[in-house]
Amino acid sequence: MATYDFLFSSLGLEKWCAEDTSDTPLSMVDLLKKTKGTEAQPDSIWELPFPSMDAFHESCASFPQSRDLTKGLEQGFLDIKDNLSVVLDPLTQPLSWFLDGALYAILNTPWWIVIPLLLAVVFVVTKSWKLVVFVGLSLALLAFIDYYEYAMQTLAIIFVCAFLCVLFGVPIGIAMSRSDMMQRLTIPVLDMLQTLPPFVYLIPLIFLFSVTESKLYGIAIILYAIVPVIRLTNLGIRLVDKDVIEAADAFGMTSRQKLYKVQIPLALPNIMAGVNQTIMMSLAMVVIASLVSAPGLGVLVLQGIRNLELGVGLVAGLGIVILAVILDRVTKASLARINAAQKQ
Amino acid sequence: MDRNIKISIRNLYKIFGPTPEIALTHVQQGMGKAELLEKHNHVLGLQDINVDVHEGEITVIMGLSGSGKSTLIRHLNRLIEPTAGEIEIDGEDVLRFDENKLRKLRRERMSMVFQKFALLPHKTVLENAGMALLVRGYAVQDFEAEAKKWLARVGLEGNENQYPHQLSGGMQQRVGLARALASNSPIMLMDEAFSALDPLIRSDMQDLLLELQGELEKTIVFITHDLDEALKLADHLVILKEGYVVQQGEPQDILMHPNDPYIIDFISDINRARVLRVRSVMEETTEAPESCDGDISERDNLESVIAMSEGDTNHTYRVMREGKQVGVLDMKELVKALVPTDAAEGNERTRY
Amino acid sequence: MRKLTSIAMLCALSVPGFAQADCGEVSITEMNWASNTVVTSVAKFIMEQGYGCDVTVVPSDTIPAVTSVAENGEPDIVTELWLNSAGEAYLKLEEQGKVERLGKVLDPGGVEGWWIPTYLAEEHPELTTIEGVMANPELVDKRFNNCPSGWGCRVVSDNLVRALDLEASGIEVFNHGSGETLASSMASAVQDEEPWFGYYWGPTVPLGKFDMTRVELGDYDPDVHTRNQTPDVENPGVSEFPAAPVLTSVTTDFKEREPEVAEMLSKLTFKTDTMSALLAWMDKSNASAEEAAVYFLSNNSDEWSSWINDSARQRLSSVLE
Repeated sequence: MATYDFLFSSLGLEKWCAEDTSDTPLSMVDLLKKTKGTEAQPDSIWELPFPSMDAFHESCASFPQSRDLTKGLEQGFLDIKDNLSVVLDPLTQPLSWFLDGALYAILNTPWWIVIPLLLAVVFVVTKSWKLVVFVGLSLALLAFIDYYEYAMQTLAIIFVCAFLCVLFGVPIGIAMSRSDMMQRLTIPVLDMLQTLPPFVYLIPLIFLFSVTESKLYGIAIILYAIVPVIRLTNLGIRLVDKDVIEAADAFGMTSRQKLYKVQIPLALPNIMAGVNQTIMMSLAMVVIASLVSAPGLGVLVLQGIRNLELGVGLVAGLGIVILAVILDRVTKASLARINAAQKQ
Repeated sequence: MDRNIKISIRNLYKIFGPTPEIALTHVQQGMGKAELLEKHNHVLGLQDINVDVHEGEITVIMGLSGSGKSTLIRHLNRLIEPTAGEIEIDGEDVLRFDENKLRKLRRERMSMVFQKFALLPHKTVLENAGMALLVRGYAVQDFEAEAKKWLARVGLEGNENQYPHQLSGGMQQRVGLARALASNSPIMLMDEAFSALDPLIRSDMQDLLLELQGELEKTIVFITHDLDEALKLADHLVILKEGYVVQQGEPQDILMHPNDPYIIDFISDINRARVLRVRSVMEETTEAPESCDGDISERDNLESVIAMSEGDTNHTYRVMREGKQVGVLDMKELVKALVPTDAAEGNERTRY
Repeated sequence: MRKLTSIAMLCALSVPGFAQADCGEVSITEMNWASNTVVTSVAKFIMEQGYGCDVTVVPSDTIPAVTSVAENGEPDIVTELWLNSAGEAYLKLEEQGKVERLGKVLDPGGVEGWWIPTYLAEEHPELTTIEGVMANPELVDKRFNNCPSGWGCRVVSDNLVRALDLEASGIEVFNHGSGETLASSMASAVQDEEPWFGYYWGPTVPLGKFDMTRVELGDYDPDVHTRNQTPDVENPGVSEFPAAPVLTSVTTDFKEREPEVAEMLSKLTFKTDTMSALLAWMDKSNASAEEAAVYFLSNNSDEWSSWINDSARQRLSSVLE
């Protein structure tokens, strides 16, 4: 006897229901009922179950349980995965090359080349000696406590991922800014990317690619970190002064001229703010990326957590914070330079 | 002074809303702006506009905010597409232009000056001034001389390498003006070009524009909500109200013969002595007056004549054009002309 | 993912049990793998229905659970404690007298080892020994799927890799970042009937679900195995993994407080084979771990009726019939 028996009998589906006679596993609730001998008691309105798949299943064995739904989904994925991987695997392969290349390059170049090179980049981007000194000291500190290699691995991964985020994010943002339809379609996807727990899509990806591919964590980082650069590019271009756009039209600019000579330059402060956010978010993904075998500081954090080596965890966490501060300061400083150049 | 018609606007309608074509039939059957908005939720922007813009003249389109003047000027270079009507420039129907022809029109035959300047904040003054040439594909060094020339002409010598945000509002609009001039287009559209400026700077800019116009003889369409500015600049004045033309013609003529309470209201506050010119109030005759207290030019404004007469209403002056007498001005007639038209019946009118 | 969720206390479906004077509130861990859910559900059912305890289930993981016991004396019962994973920290607690092991919850214990899929073993019987694997690296895709870093098994596996000089045979050692990726790599290989070679342990759902064959590493040598448990030990040796002791452990405080329940818990032992069968059944019937517990309780009453005392047996008579 189950709550919704009447539904199926009134619909005349008893026969169909009875077709499926396979046992469904006894649930704990059933067992407890059996123990207490309360089965004969009628259900009170307080215990009315929501008309869910499982509740219907109890009344009608042929009605699928909700676990059949998830099982079906899994089966569906397994069925199409071969075709999917034929498409996705080569498409994403360059990501593995970039990541492996960057990791190889940064680890096989001596520190006395890498550190000055990074400092030079910092100077070119920010034109601030103060920042160069700060970054130099931070890197020296990390190197001194023998975290140089891990920090550089993390840095290399972030460089590659942030670069690809900008490479794809800016055009997507531009496309969004030019079409309201595109914006309406993209925003829910972006929301989903930011909230979906990475493992939910990472595990299926392992079925598609080999787990040893570095693109796995690359994808995890990029999918999460690309969102702000898309959003802010879109916003930045939409916020460009309508009057200036009108002037560009009135003087006969083509759409391309408008985009490159007006919209992108004027949206640059917002785009750069997006880049800054993107870099910060890639850093936030470092630990999760290490769960899918990304090298770097995240591995140490995991090790610290798993072995209760609190010290290792703390120092590695601190290393991530130092990298975050460096990257944040540097991108903010270059952002400030752009802002100063085009204050309206 | 008959000049060629440069721009001709015929039966132009603009209706804002989801189905303007349907709304248009209502309007053509005589539905008013308020009714259209209430019943069909469409905004009537422009209604049956017919204006001829003559070559080498300044045509001023004046109206209060919401009168449709900014909408109208944007139809000329099709920043806004009309719902119905025709716009001809040099005899060509602009509305039939495809994208390329339209772009060529905007690049080579028209330039525009904006109320909020609309300069590119990330470009230097020089690059801004040369924007029209930049758009046509020239490199900075190609148009540098040209841009510099026009910047100097508007009084911005030495500011070439600054950025717009480093300049005052007046100077920014000078860049806007130089930008329009540097395009060397015969037509200039000026959308409330001086409205955002301080009164003194505005007056300077008006003088600058008149000075340049004396030399360049562009066809200028100038939008303003300021009657004094309109009267100062206009060769031909078009007054818009709620999307239709209330009256258009020679400014002096409109002042002397307003045909609508709206215009009377408009002109009741202005300094008529300064705006009206001798030729508008004189008696046209080549006969010498009985007594003559001196010669005045037909272009003199009344204020200067009053100053000359030192307030004595018994004087009579001979009005001259190019050394010949064209009329006679009696100071009594002058004083009568200073009384605002229909001022007596103006008590109930509300101010806008 | 072995998450740190120990702090989050989750009151699971609490049935107002028969209030009984001699059993009060009891907290028991539930680790985040399937077999443990079975064990915990069975224990909870018996404690509530048979002994009238008010049971709180604490979702946890090995290390956090041990740490929590050390610091707070809570939860009362840690079950399916893999001694290998708990390591030194747990042994210290025993020395201090804070906890007491009641017995093996799995008999003979957990299996650990290096595995290949059975279809691969059938096709290439030579791969069932490590020598065979090392002689034919291309047959296992030239890759060894190693334990995630930070896991107890990682140290042993690393030392074994060095002792065998596995990499010299052309097999790349891939260090997984988490148990999830290790399991997924195995699952995805088996789905496609592709080669796979790596570490795994049981009883677990993947080992219950997929037919895997053990790669023989040689004989079990307790000395060598103990030596291999030290990271980067100087002279690693080759030894098969022994059956891993998997315990039920309670705080000494709890044992004094609830001797009857502790007595029952000390007898609560699953045969490793029974557990494997349960997990396989679970996968086959598309059932949850809790339902697997119910399945066990309904079908193996002769087994678990010997764990409980007479009064509990009486209370549970309706199920035992």
